[in-house]
Amino acid sequence: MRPLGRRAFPPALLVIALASLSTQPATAHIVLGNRPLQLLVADADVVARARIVDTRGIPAASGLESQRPTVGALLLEVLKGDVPLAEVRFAQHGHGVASYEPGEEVLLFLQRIERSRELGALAGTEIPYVSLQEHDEKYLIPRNESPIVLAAVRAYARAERIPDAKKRIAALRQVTLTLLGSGDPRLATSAVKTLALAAEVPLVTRDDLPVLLPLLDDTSLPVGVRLGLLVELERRALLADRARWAALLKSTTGSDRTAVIRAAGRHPSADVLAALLALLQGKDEDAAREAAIALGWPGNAAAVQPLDAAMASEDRGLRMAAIRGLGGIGSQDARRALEKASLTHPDPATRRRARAEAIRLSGAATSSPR
Amino acid sequence: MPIPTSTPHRTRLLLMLACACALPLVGTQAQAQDEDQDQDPDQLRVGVCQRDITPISPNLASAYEAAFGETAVVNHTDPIFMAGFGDNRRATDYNDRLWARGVVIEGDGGRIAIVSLDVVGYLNGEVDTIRSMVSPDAGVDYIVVHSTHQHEGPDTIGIWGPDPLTSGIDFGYLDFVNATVADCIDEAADGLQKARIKFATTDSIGLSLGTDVEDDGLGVADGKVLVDDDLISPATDGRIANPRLSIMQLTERGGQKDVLATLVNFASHPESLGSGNTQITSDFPHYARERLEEEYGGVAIWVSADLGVLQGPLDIDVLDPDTGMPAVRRTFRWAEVHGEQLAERVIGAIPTMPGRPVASLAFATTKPVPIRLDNPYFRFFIALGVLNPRLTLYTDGVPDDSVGFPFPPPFDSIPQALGEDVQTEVGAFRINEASFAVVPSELDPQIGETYRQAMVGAEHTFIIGLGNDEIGYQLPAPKWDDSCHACAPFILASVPEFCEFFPNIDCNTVFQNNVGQEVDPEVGAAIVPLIDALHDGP
Repeated sequence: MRPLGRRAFPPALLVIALASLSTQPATAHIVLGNRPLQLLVADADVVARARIVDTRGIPAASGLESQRPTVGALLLEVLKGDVPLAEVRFAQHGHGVASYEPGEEVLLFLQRIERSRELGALAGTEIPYVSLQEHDEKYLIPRNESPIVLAAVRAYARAERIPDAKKRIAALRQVTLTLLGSGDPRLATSAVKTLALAAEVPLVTRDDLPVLLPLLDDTSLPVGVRLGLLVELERRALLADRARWAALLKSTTGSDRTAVIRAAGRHPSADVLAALLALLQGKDEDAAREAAIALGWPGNAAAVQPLDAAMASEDRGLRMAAIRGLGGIGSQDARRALEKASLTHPDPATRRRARAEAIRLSGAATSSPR
Repeated sequence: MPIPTSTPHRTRLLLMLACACALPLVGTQAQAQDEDQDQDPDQLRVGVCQRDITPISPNLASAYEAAFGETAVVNHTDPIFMAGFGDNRRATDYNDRLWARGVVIEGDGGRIAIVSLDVVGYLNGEVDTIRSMVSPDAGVDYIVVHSTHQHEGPDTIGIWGPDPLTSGIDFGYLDFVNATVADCIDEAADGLQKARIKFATTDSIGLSLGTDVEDDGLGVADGKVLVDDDLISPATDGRIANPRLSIMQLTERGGQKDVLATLVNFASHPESLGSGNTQITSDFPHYARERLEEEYGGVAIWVSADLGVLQGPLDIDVLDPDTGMPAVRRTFRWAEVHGEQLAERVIGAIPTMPGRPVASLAFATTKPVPIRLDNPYFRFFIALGVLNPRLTLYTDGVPDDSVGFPFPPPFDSIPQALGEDVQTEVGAFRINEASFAVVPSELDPQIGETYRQAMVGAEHTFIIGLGNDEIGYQLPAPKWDDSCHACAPFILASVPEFCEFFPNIDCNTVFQNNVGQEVDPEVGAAIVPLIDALHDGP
């Protein structure tokens, strides 16, 4: 793991950062999926509330119009950047671009076109900007409303201009807490992603736990957000309550429970083990299958016999899941159970799958080269 | 716009390599035929297979039957989350089916299997499961399972679920695919017959209109210009694309020499439908395969090449022959036009003379290849159970699923994964005058070109990208830009000016979904010696 590169650090921020460092040194971070809202604001040269005017392609010299979408928008409020309230045109570029309709009121995150290595050739044309937004980074602003996202973006933009580092961090903490508690799934997700990316920056602290802990039980939030927040609070050493995982296993249902089961398997404890074993042996077939896989953490000796028994289930899906679980445990006992099933199980597909898992465990799966 | 005549050296090299190999190899073919006389004529045998791996959920079973007129057998739970773009994109219908299509080739030197899957990616742990399920009687020495990287199928990796932090994987579907692919290989191995083999190389130059600022008329665009690429290719503002189409065709030995399989290797993301589509499809490769099978029969197999760092179709325009106008982007008509034009280019390149009845095979693999995981966000996703849990971590080459408790009391009961590296594999093989590199990544074509240059003496070169794994983008090591990652905490603390990389911070998307900056050095260090060992290299 590598330390962060840094220039001279303002003393106040350095104190804050050092005080909140965990015992693990910081590492480089990669964004999986789209950027959190704060990074969008940081990357943009212009952030604005705007009304979409039109969308069209770009005429080419050949007379044929390129199908690359460009969008005309009237800026209604500029939240970042020094630009007038006027009509602008921007190009779109990216893996999956947002689609716009005339009349929509939206948030725009724009970059000057000359900063784009791909579209810089459009500099000096009628298209001075490129949108930073991917397809699910479109933010519609309902008319006559001031949604939380607008307040958050204003706050992020304002925070960039706060000269005092401590006050800036305090402002960002407030935005983070607001987004987490907003009830808006996308905004809460953005805040969790910000936390995961921000290393040890104290965007939440122990003082915020009274606000954050109820969110873990807030069923109106997507389960992924709740789990992500739990994982982050643990990673930041703000929470040591291992019983929460078992409690979530018992309280969630349906697809939420599937997500909890998968995550719980990465956070083993005696309580989690007991809860997963109960699901494995319960009547809910979907939960039983997921539990079988989740029980497959390395060396989980207590799950070998229950998973071995599950291989005898009439439910084919559970048999296959139990095989995956035993493969995840990887112990000698697990391997013996798989080998036995590969020889004696009455179902040929189960024998084949068990044999494959035993082979995979032995490391002999790769076809040997000549 | 067409390629300028004064093209910088590197791009000329690309074009020369792309075009020269398309020239008829008359003299070479005659010499090879003389050599064949001395070899065992029964040596080359080939088997082919194709299996339907379309995900079918209870809610979509009737849609499947309506679309294809075949009985639906449910193999996936509801909903089917679609991979490749954002989260919570749920399949609503089908345009065409997804396939596992493969060949088993036996020659002097062994037996290899190449199977291509119409999915976004397939992790190494699942590939190992497939290998272990293939019957020992199949006698295959080296199995390659490739993903085309299409963006309109089910989530097989785990990062495209109902929300950004919840997996979309259905493990039952993965079990179905594993068994199906193993069956496919067994079937192909069981059906080996005497065959002939031939190769060709052409390119996609001229297939796109060049009307877009990012389109150089190559039939594929470079969607991400890396730092200093403009120095390598100033005439194209740094856009460096690989338009090569590499082709392998297998026919029956005698009689009418019916085509058994046509394999096409091309470096373009199969994602032309874009992020708004909710119909399951294999994208433009479907139409290319249909046209090739219409022409030749047999099984057409699409294998994506060095498509990394955003080589793809999203920034090009193609002419719809029906209207005489550019096809509307992100439509099935666009995919159809592009697929068919690629197929026509391939058809025009395959020589009519019979292929060789013999095959000299050689291959080499390295497994494991450790790559340091410089990506705490991956760890976060692993901790959430989002990524397929078969992503094992290792330390110093030893499986390390251990957890530690690095925090001081009272938090010393909070586990942290301690493994440092992920592990993957690489491979390379030769078949007669053709050479193949098997890489686990979405390989940048600049790197792909260096691997091809290492294939000394090979007349046709193939890059099998996303081969036996999917570890994300592989950028050239000197072009890795760590600014966004290193500066993320500073950016998020709103003090980017205190990061050493300020103001040149690049938070572009190619640095997402990346194991880290060690990918290129480690993969290169593993595969180049393999390529060298199979050729007349150092």
